[in-house]
Amino acid sequence: MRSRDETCRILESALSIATSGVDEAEVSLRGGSIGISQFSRNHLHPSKELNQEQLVVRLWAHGRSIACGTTEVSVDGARECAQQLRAEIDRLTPGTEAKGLPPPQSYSPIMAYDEQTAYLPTIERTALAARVLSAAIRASKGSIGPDIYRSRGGVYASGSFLVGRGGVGSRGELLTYAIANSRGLMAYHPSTIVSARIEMESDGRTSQGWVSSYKLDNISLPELIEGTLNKVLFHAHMGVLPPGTYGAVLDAEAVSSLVQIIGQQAGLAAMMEGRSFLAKGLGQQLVDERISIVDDHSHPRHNGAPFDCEGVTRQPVTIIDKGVGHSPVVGWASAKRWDRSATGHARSDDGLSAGEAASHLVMSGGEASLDTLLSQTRAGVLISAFDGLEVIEPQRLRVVGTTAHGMYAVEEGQRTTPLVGMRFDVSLLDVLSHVSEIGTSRWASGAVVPPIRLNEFPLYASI
Amino acid sequence: MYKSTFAKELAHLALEEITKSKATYAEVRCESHWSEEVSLYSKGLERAYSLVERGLSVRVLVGGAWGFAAVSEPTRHDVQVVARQAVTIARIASITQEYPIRLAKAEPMKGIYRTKIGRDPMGVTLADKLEYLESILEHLQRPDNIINACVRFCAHRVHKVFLSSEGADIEQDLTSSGVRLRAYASDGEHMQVRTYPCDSGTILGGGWEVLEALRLHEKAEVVAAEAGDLLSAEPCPAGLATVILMPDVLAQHLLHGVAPLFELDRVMGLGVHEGHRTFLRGDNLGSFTFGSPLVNLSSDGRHPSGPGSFGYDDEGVESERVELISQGCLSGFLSGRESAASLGLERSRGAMRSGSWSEPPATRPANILMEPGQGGDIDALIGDTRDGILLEGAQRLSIDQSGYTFAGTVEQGWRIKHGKKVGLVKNISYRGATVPFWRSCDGVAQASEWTMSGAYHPHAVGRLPVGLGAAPARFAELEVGASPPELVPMNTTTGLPIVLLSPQEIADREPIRPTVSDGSSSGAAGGSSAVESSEET
Repeated sequence: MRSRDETCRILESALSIATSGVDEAEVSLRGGSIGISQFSRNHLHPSKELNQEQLVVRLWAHGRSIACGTTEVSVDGARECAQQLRAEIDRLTPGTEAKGLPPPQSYSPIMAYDEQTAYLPTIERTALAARVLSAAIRASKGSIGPDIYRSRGGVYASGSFLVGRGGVGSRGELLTYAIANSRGLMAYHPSTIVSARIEMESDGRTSQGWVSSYKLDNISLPELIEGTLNKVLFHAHMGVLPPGTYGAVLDAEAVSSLVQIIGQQAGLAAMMEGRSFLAKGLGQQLVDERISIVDDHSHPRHNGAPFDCEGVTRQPVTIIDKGVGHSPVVGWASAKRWDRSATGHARSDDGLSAGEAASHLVMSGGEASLDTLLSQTRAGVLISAFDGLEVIEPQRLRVVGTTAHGMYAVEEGQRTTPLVGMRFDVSLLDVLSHVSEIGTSRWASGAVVPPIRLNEFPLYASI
Repeated sequence: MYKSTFAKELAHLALEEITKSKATYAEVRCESHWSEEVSLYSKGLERAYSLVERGLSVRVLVGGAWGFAAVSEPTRHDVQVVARQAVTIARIASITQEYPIRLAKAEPMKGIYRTKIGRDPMGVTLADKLEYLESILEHLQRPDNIINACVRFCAHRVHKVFLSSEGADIEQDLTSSGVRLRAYASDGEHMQVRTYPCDSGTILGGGWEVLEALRLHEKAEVVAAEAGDLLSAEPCPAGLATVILMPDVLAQHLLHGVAPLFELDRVMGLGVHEGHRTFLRGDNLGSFTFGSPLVNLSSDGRHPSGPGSFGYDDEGVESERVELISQGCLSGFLSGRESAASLGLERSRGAMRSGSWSEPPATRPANILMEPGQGGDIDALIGDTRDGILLEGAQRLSIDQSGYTFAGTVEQGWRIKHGKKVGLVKNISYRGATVPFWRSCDGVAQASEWTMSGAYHPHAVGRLPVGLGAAPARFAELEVGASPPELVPMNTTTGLPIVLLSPQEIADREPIRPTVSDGSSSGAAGGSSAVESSEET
């Protein structure tokens, strides 16, 4: 883990080399140390320990910008990158890209680093994975888990424990944790991440659970294990439903993946180019008026970095306000292009900005628990999570996908038979316009969202 | 790039360190990756980026369990640390290992393999690349109704040194180059998009010459004109239809919906932690009818233009051609040494690949090829179709985790009536079930229509090129439409219409389980031909 002093030294040295002979320059650091213990069907995979850090240098000259990244995070690495870039940029014909990097910004500190998590020994991480496997094996023997049903073919656990420090995301992706530019901007935000994903499988059915935090003490493994076991082992039978439109309760994990699609499509560039639901939806009633969706990196369950991959201060943005399309999220490049204020939402692709996305989403909730939503359902389905989601028409937020991980019949207010997953093809705007009840928001699979009850959800083929 | 001698020195140092432990097997990969991307957009926006990554990884078997560790920019000291780290991880893993891992026997290979390239893509100056791409962009933007356009070039080169404790000593230099053209047309109210060759672009094995051979200026004009034509096209009619899928659409299916099914890791249930499953089972081999007799699929690691070609996989096993489906019947799997031994197969088929030094290898396809047929050229295939739709310009494809079903979209289609293309259609989505779909294949165009394309593997970390070869093919029945299928609200006043599954139907949905051989079965898992992982060996 690089200290602030060491990071600043590297960035300043790199910047002084990179700035020479060009209009503007930017250097950033991304990635860090990652440890992953993985397991599939009660079988441990090779654990991984890796150190994966990159230095990215970007130069502007003659109306052009070019960038270079290297795993050699040192002054030598920066020099090599800068020399290569300068040699290329000097040969180019002048371009039309306007210069103008973000000026120095002020950031509110966000606590996202925990020393104990940062240096969790491999053996302890592997022991966490072993606890999940042990629970699955004991559940197979019937010694733990719900009494209602004992698995015929055994219980199998799959999943991963990831621990990272520096600039590492919950899926092991590399994040920018420090950036400096020739206008004097300097940003540094080291973080830690612990992410546990579990999938339990028994007799042809599956259930998933995922917890993530910057701090190991914030996650409860027993709760995660119990939750996934209870979902997969609560009934003796499994059934199939014919295609049709059903009343549905979507648990928070399912809602989370839908809301994250909304966040991915909420950028200014996509809106201005007609590729977003906001292109014709700004100021329009898009979904149920009880639904508001905000991007807020400072929410205590997100603890996101206070700046984006260009160093611009992240600001909370209300994307949907009481059902009405409200505001897109804006990165620096789009802000310049369309004369708007940047909100710090540049999407990173290899450490460079590429469009925008909202990734710290919070959806407003109500008072009802999941059990209350189920109790109000006479006949319908409970969808725990979605899988295989693809946006096929971003303007209408039309999405195809499956209900592969835990769909259950709901009869007379009770969750009953597990059902084989089904396919669907829906417009999220339509789905979220037919909400009959909204539950209490909680962190679920990367967003803070509530479970919801829908009057109708079309399901057309079993998988 | 590392010099070969330095990379080998580091790899030898790591191996030496491991020999001090009780490891029964070890392999070291020292890799340098060089990727480059240049994108040009309308209105002067551009992106030019190169990335150089160097790293070393160690994978060891200790006490019947795997350990893996990796480091970027390794020094001589680092590789010793990483080697010890991998051994420690394996020791820890062996405490909870349910059964010891066994490896099918493999000849320790020594050799060098290089992609044949005409012009080094990294050697072409950025100025030359921009000039070439700008001229293509200019063709893309010519029609008045094009509001946005983009042309993207990418190239990737990896230099790999592989050493194993069994004596393998391999060096490879693999290069691929690719492109994508895209044009958005608008009439002020609606927008349509066309890309060449499809939404994800294409990559091919080779250098800059690959682009020059694609005649991109012509393609740019076609793509731009088609985007404009789509604005006034009819929406795609809904219902069951005979469809002709062009090679780019088939390539999407081969990449996302077909190749993963044959990865033996998935068959054994070893990829579930990443959501990787397959409905195929080991005992389906030789007996399962996957497609019609016209369907012949293989994974060929040595195809001359395939971006997924390589000499040796990341376990040091020589690449080869694996027949996956022969005349519609399941005839092979993509395997590595562990999965082959688990299934009792004689040997690995050389399909263990990794897209990064930071990732252990997994079973992955090389170049997935659907063989051409006897259906004549594309005009003959259309001429033989009474009523149908031709689909091209693949966009999105959603596959469920086990690969039972799919749903996708394409950019454009042509209505076919009485053997003739009669009208352009737009906004096309389609959906189906994998096996019925492939069993309904009733025509495959001839070799002259066969096209190689490629993409980076969607599930691999880093950049792992996969070749995708196909000729246009016809399928008797697929559900297509511009909108989701109409569904009637279920009458649930008498409860949900649930049909319960039988225990056998439930069991059929599960993968087979890895087994520990008792030494009595035949094949590699049976004993002498497999590498034992116990410390006594």
